[in-house]
Amino acid sequence: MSDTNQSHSNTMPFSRIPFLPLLRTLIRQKYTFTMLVLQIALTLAVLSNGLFIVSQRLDILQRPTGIDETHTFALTSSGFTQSFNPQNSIKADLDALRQMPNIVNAVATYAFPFSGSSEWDELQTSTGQDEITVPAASYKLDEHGIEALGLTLLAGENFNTNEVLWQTQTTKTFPSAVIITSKLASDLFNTTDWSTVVGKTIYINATYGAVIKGVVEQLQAPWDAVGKIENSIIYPRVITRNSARYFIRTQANKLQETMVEVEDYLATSNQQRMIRKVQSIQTIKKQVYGPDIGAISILMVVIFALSIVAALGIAGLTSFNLVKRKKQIGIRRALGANKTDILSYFIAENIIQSTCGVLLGWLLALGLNVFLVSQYALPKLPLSYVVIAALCLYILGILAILKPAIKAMNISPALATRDQ
Amino acid sequence: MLKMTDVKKVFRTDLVETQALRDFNLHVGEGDFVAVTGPSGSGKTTFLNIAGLLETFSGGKYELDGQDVSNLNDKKRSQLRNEKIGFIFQSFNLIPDLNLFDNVDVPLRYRGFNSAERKKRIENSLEMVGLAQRMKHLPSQLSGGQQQRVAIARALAGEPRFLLADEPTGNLDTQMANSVMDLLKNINDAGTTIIMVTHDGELASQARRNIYVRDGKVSEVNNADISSPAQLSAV
Repeated sequence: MSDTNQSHSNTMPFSRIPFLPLLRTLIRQKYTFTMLVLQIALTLAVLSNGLFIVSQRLDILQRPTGIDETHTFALTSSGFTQSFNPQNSIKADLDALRQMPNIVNAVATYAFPFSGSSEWDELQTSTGQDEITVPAASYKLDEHGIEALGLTLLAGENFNTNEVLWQTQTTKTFPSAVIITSKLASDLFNTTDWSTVVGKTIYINATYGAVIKGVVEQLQAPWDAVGKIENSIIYPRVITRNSARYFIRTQANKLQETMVEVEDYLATSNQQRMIRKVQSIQTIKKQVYGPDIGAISILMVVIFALSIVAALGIAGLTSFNLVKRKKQIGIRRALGANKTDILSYFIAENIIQSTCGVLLGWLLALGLNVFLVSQYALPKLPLSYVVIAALCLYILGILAILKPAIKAMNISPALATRDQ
Repeated sequence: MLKMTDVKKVFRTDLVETQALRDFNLHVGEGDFVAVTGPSGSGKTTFLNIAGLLETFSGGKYELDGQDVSNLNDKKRSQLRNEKIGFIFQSFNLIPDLNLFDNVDVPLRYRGFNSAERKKRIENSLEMVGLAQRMKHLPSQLSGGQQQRVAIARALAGEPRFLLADEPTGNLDTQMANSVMDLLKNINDAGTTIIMVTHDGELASQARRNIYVRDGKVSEVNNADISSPAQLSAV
């Protein structure tokens, strides 16, 4: 009559979980089930797109500029008298600054990463209007520029003094030698062998030929005009005007004191101008990226709050179900379920709910992304973000049900014989 | 087969200590049909809970099928309960969200049977109680008597050595109660040991053996139909 040979130890762990009956039971509880699935689906849609947007913004914040951001600062020297000679002032200032012991090098330039202003030129490998062009932000630097900015020269050589022309904004000419970034070289010549690029001629704005004298590893454009922020070209030029900007690189750990020293010196060395906007590059970077950091913070708060609301929803519903099914759990225990079976039951129930939510959320996430792509020109949502968001929701769901589930597994089987 | 020696059960709160069972002695042999009667609060349900391994006890010794169960952990107790004991409850205790098939499936799944074996057992046991045609119905679609028959099918599907029934006809009208009682007698005739807690003296008289519980003790034995007097020796 009895069959005690079949032992619990022969059982596969998952075969003790009644997945199909559980699914049928959940479907019968249509309102609570639908609500929870919708909540998970909406959370997934927002979470995956939100994480993607945050990641995109973080990529922007963390992209390398190629310059020494830690030991550099900039300032503005504005001449205000009729007799102020900008070229003489710049020359005198730079000569003096380069003599200071804490300064590695200094250069006069209106453009540097985060300065937010530069000209963009169209470059091509052969002359003519119909050729394919590559845009590049143009920097005007003298032979001290590479060292002052802290750039890395990969191939070729720096400008020499004779190549550098001093000119005003109205007497603009294009140079015969240029230095370009490796990304620009790659876009122009489709190569990563930078030494083969050196010596080649490129044409600026379809007309002006210039020989590539050197290739620097990286120099981020001052602003991202056309989605080509790594494409920069350096002309051996110094532009003079009443309001000049100096970019100064200091020795390690000397930034703050050098900023004070330089400001004090320049403020007194020439009474015909005033010194303004003495700011470290990191400060300027923070100001430039402030809106991005703000957007990321707000988005993270929204994502976090939404996740908490979802977790509270799951936990609340599980607790409610626990109260409703206390007797049922006692019956299951009386019929042979051990504590692990009850815990597994709750986890399985949560996984089924989460899976339904994730499948629906997947569609919603793609729909939301299609909307964002069409309205705000965002890139297409990679699958990995949906997968990561889904995993987060699975973990969140299990954490949310853990407390009620542990409570459930401690329900006594004797409850089956009590009238509740 | 089931032997309790000086079993005690004490319920304690901060203020009160209640002795639900005191020196409870009972020996139930294989194939017995024991009716347990007694007034409310006498300890009948506590005895049934301890006998069914639903509750632990405070002292004494309890041997089930030759195995001392005094110090088993929860997992082992759950396993023994699942393998050796079938339960029939007064309020049927079917799971309302599951259809009849899935209700009978509950203990079989914890037993570890494969799906083909479970299906065979579910169909056979529902067939035995005359409800094979309604296995996709929910409990709410059945009468009380039919629900209790499903509960009996669930209890028997795993072919337990013991059937513990807690007021199995308490929620049924006379006709249905008799029908359930006939079913239990048939099951007992087929060899399953049954212990039934009841308030109903008429129902108790249909058992092979009666015990009376008062103040947590087996205080009286009424041999309605005793096949072996030696079985009472432990009382």
